[in-house]
Amino acid sequence: MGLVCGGDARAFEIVYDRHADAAFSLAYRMLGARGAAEDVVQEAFLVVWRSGRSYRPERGGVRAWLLGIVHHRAVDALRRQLVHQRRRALDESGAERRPAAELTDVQAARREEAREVRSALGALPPDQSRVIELAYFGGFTHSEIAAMLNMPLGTVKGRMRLGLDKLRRELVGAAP
Amino acid sequence: MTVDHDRYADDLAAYALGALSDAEAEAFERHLTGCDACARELEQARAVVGALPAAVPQHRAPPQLKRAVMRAIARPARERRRLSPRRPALALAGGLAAAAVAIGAYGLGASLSGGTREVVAASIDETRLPGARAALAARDDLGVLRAERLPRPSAGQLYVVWVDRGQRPIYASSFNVRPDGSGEAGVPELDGVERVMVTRERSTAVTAPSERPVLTVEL
Repeated sequence: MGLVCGGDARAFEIVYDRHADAAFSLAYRMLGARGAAEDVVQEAFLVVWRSGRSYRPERGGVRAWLLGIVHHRAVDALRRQLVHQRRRALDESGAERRPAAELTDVQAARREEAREVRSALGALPPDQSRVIELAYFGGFTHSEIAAMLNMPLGTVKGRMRLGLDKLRRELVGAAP
Repeated sequence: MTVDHDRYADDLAAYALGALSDAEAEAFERHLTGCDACARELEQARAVVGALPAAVPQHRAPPQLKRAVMRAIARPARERRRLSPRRPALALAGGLAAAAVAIGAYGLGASLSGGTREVVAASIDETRLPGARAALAARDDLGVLRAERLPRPSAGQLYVVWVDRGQRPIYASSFNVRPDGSGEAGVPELDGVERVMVTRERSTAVTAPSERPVLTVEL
């Protein structure tokens, strides 16, 4: 039975508890600042609350929807920043500087999914994973990426396509 | 169709990743409505893109974030902004009103896509934004401000949205101008807001407007 989000705070809290870490982790990865990440996640959960949508917390629907909102909001926030701030964020995006103490006890299934996606990303040729990460996590358009990496637009799009195709094959192959 | 399909084939992955410009994305979406092959391929690409968040290092969301979210949703509905039912929604020329409530790709758009909503036209300072048009689409206390024919602000500037609840303007959000002169911003908290204003600022870290508003929406 589905729960109605808007108006049922307890149902909403279940959704929050299940997905807040993933939402915060995505926003933090993209924005690199805890305060900005919290703002984006709070906005996204308020959209969920106000939507009044029915959902089944055990299914992936609300998670994908929520993370989509977080992603869009984070991209908006990135694109509002001045160019030099974005460059700096870009420079830092190559390395993960996350304190180990903050790692969470995510559910085993989520860990497995994360391992598979990271593994699939890691298996990509660096030139393909680079353009995908710059686009998705960095919020850059293909023309900005082309300018940054000094390569033709068509090459950037082509690498995105090859990379997503390869990721899809890897993930389908990893699925039970 | 084949020629058209070939032309857009390379855009598909960039579109799924959100990496096309707005104009390119719109052109691709037009193609998509008549191309089943792209629609199928896009579905697969979106599934892959949807898995990417799982790859990021996981952190625990801060406890204060949960407190803030639960506090925000616990506010009684009567405290939320109710736009007057007596004030008629304004029909704007050129489809702007429709555009203002049809911003489908974003969360705000999704939440505004149903139920009672209202579109209120903005007053424009014609000397500084000649020819511009703007409107706020609102549903309960959630709004989207959309503007067209905006001039680009000076280098390093962006448009900042403020809300005024009768005391002093408070920063709400900000936006850049797209190549086609349009721009939009979410206004998430319309509770008790009397007017929504836009100024041109050098940073989103501003605490007060540095100029008179270039556009104002009176609620």
